[in-house]
Amino acid sequence: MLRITSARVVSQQRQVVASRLLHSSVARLNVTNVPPTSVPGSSSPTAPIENPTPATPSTPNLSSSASSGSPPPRPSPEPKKRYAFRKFLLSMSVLGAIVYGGGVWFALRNDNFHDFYTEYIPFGERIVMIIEEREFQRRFPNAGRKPLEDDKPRVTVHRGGATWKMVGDEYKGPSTGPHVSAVPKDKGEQKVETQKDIVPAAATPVPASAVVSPAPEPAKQEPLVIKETVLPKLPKFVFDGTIDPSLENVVTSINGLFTALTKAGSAGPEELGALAASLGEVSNKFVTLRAKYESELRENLDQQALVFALQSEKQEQDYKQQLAAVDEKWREGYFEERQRIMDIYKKRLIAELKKFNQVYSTRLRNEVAAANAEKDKLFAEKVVETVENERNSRLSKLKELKSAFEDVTALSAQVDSQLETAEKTAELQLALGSLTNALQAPYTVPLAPIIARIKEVGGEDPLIAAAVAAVPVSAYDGVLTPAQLAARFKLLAPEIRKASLVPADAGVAGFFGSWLFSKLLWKKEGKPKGTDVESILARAESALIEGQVVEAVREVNSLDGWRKKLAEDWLAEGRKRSEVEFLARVLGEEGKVWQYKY
Amino acid sequence: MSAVKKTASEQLLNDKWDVVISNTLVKTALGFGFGVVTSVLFFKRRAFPVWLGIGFGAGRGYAEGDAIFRGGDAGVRIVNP
Repeated sequence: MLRITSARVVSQQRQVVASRLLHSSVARLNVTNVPPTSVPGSSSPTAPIENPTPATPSTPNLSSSASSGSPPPRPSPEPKKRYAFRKFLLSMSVLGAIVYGGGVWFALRNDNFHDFYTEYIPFGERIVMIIEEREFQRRFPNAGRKPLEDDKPRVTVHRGGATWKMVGDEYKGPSTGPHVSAVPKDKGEQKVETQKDIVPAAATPVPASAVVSPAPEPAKQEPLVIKETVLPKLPKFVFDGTIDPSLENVVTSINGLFTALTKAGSAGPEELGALAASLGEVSNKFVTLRAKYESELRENLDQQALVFALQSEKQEQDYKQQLAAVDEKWREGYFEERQRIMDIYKKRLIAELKKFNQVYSTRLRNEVAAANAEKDKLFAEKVVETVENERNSRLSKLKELKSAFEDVTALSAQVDSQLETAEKTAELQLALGSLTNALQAPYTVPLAPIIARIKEVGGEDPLIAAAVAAVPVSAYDGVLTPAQLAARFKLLAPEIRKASLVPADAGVAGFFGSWLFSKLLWKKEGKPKGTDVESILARAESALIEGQVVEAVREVNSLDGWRKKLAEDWLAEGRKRSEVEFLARVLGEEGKVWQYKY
Repeated sequence: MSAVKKTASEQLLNDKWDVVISNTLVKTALGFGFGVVTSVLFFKRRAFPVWLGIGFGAGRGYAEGDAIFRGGDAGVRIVNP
């Protein structure tokens, strides 16, 4: 838009200038019938040039005509321009408000749009969040406040009429006695009297009931209550046959008493006397009966005592007989056992005696044999002594000869071993020499057979074995000579130079720049001091010229980054060569030591 | 010592340069081609699509060259021997 506008403005300006020029030239030429409102920019070849006058000074006419002449009414973009910006701002803000508002409204409705809106529209998420929070506050004004502190349930139940009471201290247990209203009022009195009166009397006349009691036993404990105020009607005893006929007297006297009592209210002495008399009779009868019974019982007891005594005697005799029999039996058994044990002991004794005799006899025999052996030995010694004495000198001479012979064999063995070691040393020297020659040859020599030979010859020496094991496997095919290394270095150096100015993590531009500007670097020679690439290369090159492979490898090893990566192969070869050189030196030293070892 | 396909370490950068330059040329040419086609078909044979295409191609080539020099495999398939 802007570009088009500016093009338009430019074109308009051009037209303005063109029209001005045209009109100025027209004015110069004093052409009057040029219409003032001609379309600017359109060349008016139709305007005839009538009076070609010499050119008047152009500038004043130009300026005057330009100022006083009738310039075409410019479309005056300024008023429009003046408010365009404000209009633009207004329209932008209105549009933005509509877009944002509509977007927010739609986002609250639609989830997909909401995601898109919050993610891609700046501040969209914020607005949506504000509006959502407001809505939430409106709907749940209490949310966010602290929860209720008591966690008892809030439901209350109307209690109605029922209440509960804890079964607490007031409860004393079930009542043991009868209900309050059931306890008789004068039961206590009766109970007390019962304990006092143990009268072998007749039935008790209870105030309420009139019970007929047919058994007048002496153990009856019912008290005899005689109420003086109220006299019930005493019944007569019914003699119904259950009562003993001897008590008839008693019954009649009692009946008389009762009738007297009912009639008169008090008992006269006759009745009482009659009662007492009858009672006395009864007691007499009792006494006689008891005496009779007692005597009977005593007789029975005496008889039974006699019977028991007889029985016990008989039993005693029986027991005594049994004891005697048992005693006899035990005695016999005892004697038998004693006899048996004695027999056993006798047998054992005989056996032991026999054994002892045998042992003793063998011991004696052994002693005899030992004595014989001793005798023989003495005899043999004697013989040897005699023989020795005879051939004294000759035996000793034999011994000397033997010792001398042993010495000689030892000496010869020693000489043999020394010869062996000397031979080995010589062979080792040869092998080491061949190794050194191989290293100094002008071409690559395979080292595998030489190393095998060294191992064969000097393998027992641990140092030689270690050195041989330390030779890298890749060196078995041979190592490059210093000259070859130098030649390779000459190929390597330009590549390193190309990468000498490469910065870290470089791209195309870095490498290209390095290639370009490395061509401007000074090339150094000799042994310059410094850590830049050119110095390192110069030092390495001079070391190679002198044949110092180790030095050269050390220098090249101090490169870094892409330079080192490029030099890796050369470094590997150089390292191989230096290792083999070092090991060859070590082996040479060890060979020299061998000469002096034996 | 070197195997059949193993390259000496000195030639690393040279190989990379080969790849980068050839890749850039190819991509630029492709971009040029696409630019020409587009210009003819859609833009009434104007000049700018061609330049655009060349720019795209060269840019891609440059970016891939950067990646190659930095150790990535962008755009180039390296087959280990």
